Amino acid sequence: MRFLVVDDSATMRRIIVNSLDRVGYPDVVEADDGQTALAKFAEGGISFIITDWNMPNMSGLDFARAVRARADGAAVPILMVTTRSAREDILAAVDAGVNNYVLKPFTPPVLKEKIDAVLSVGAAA
Amino acid sequence: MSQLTIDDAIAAFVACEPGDEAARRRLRERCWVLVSNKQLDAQARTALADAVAVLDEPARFKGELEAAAMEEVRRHLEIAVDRVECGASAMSEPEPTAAPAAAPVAAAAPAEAPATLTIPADADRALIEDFLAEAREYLETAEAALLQLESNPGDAEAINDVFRAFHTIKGTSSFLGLEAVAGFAHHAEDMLDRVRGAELAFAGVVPDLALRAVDVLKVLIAAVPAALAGGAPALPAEYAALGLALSNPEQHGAAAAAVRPEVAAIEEAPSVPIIGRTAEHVVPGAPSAGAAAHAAPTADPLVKVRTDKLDRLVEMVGELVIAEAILMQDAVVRDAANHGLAQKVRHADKIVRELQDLSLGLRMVPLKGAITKLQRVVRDLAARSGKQIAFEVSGEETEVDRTLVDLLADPLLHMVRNAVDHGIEPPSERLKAGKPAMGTVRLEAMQAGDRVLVKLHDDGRGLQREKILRKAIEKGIIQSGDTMSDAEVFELIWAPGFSTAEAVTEVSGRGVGMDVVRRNLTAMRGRTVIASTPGQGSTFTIELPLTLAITDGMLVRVGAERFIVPTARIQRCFRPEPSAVHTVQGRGEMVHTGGEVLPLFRLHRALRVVGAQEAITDGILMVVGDGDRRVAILVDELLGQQQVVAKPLGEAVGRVRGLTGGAILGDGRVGLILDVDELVEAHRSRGTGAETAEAAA
Repeated sequence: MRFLVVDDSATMRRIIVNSLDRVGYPDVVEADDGQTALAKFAEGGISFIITDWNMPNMSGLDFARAVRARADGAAVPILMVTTRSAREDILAAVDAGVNNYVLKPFTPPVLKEKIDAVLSVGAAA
Repeated sequence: MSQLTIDDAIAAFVACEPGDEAARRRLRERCWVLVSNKQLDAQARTALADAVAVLDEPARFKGELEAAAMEEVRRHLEIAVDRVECGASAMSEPEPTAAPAAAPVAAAAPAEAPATLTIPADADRALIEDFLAEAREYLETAEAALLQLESNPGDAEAINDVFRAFHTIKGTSSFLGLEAVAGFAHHAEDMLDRVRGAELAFAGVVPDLALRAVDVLKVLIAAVPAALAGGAPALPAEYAALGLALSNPEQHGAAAAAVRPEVAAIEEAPSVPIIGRTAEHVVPGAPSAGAAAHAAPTADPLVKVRTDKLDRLVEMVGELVIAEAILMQDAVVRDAANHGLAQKVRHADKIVRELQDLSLGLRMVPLKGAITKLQRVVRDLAARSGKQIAFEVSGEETEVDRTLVDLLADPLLHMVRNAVDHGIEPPSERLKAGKPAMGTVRLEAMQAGDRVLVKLHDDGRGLQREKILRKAIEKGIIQSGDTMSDAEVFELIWAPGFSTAEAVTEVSGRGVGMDVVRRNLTAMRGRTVIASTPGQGSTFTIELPLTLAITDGMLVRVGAERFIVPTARIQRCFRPEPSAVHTVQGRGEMVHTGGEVLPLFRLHRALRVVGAQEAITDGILMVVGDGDRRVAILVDELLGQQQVVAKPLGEAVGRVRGLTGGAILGDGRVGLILDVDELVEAHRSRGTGAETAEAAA
């Protein structure tokens, strides 16, 4: 299962990639902004996206919308990494097509739990 | 359709025993799935989102707080149930105004504030060091954006830049266990978020609080290496009060603004231990490649390299160039009868040159970093002195050797301070003089050949000759200024003792006087030029070589000694006619060349070299310097051009007037590099007295 990790902060990307590796997902592609991420997604083979919310040029929400607008992007799970969860943020994320989000800071098990939650909902639907 | 219903959420809620985090997370996930279900009533989803928001706040479930938080979750769930059960019947009812959104912040704020910066024992050090470099970049961006917001408070992108800096630092530092950093960044982020949401105007104390938050974060970031080394650095004095002000700028802001810290906090760098210092900018490509206009993250992958490694690389390439030059000059190679060998050597030479260009390019960074700090200085100084000043910058993408960027910081600071304090007049005085109330300080950086020019222009009152002279006489630097040209008078501001260190400390945070700044510049083969017109302003120009690593030099012989003169300083060389030289009363020997008259400077006399040519027609004259400071230097012979790696003369020798350093020559011997400007200066300051004595002799 190949993950696409999108975050403008290299440190954050490393944290996420390390966490994924620790919970058994070593196959990761990285991107430092939405545009690059879209290009990487278009190359195919991505089965799960983890994206930051606040990024320059293209926000995580815009990125999620852009993925959902693609024919091959309607079903790919998108997990948003954020530090904020107010009502408006939650609703905006849902509207953009985000499947779930995880709050910073998280531990690898929590990340796994979120990924599992997203995957199980997808399987149930 | 076995879809999750609101009842599933209620069931999960009921299953939540106090302290059962796993059960709470299950409840949260169920609520989330319901929020995502767009077939559900909109207001029910809103209420469920509120529940998720509460559940996502781990701090609210600590100990005794849990009961209250669960109660709030229950209220949100109840609203959701009501909405779902009464269905479409109450569609257009006003949105339930449940618990005020401010509650979480209030709950989080009084958490026990740490007193020192500590790092968890299991911290990932490499990751933290990466984070520090990254955090510094974010803060620089935030600072630049904040200054831009001053002139354009509505710039949404700039507000986002600032927000993102706080946001990212908060997020990442919380992972790394840097609680003190995360906690503070959180407050700053909250305030900026309110600005972003147009809930708080970017006006009044807000810009100032944001800038100070950047400062405190810089200090915190700078203190992390000390904590990594096992220490527990104290938090900045402002930490707690500013954190409070940030979370409630309306109430605390005004009070906090009253105790404005001195601008000295700007220069935080020198106090940072150099351990593990990483490159702040890594710019790919050749020096000439102009960086992209906007510092957006590039698609090209970047690698961060420690600066000491980079310096070592450049140094080694310098040595390689020299070693290769020695090889090329070896008689066997030079006069190679073997055509094949000559061809191979030429090929190697080409590669070495290319490698040299590449390696120098590696260390080139834009001047931007040094300039951003200045915007802040101008702003703060202007605010304090009640002056209105627009600071314009151009050419900040000009690239120079990294070591020179650091070196430029002090002189630029002095120049800017001088322009703001002494150059630009108060608004009333400007209006009286028929100028706009707002003064302009313009900083221009540009590349000219292998030199970099940084000009600082102000449209103020200009340097005041009389005032400078009065002060110089007062300080005993000169006796009288009657015979001095304007340029000579302006030069006095660089004289030792003219500007006191105390006056300077206030801005730079260090007791460095103008004379030291000047000397540092000269040591790096830099020059300063001052131009000023009364009533119209002044222009300070700093000229620096693009790089320090390698100098193009002209090897000259004087007697049995050989010296290197930087090629860039030589205008031309010629062999004079005997009739071209005259001794002018009071000005010493002068030489006519190409319609002008230049002072003649006998190098062997200045450097006390014996056995050199005395007869001017047997030697060569080099015209060096510029403007009215040009002189013709007499040497015995030009030996050819050579690139040299300049090295300081070493502790034992110390600094010698007229010499910038030494270099290994092609034959392995050491040649001394002449400091043309200093020699000329020495020649001039010997002044009329010495020369009349000479003429009389």
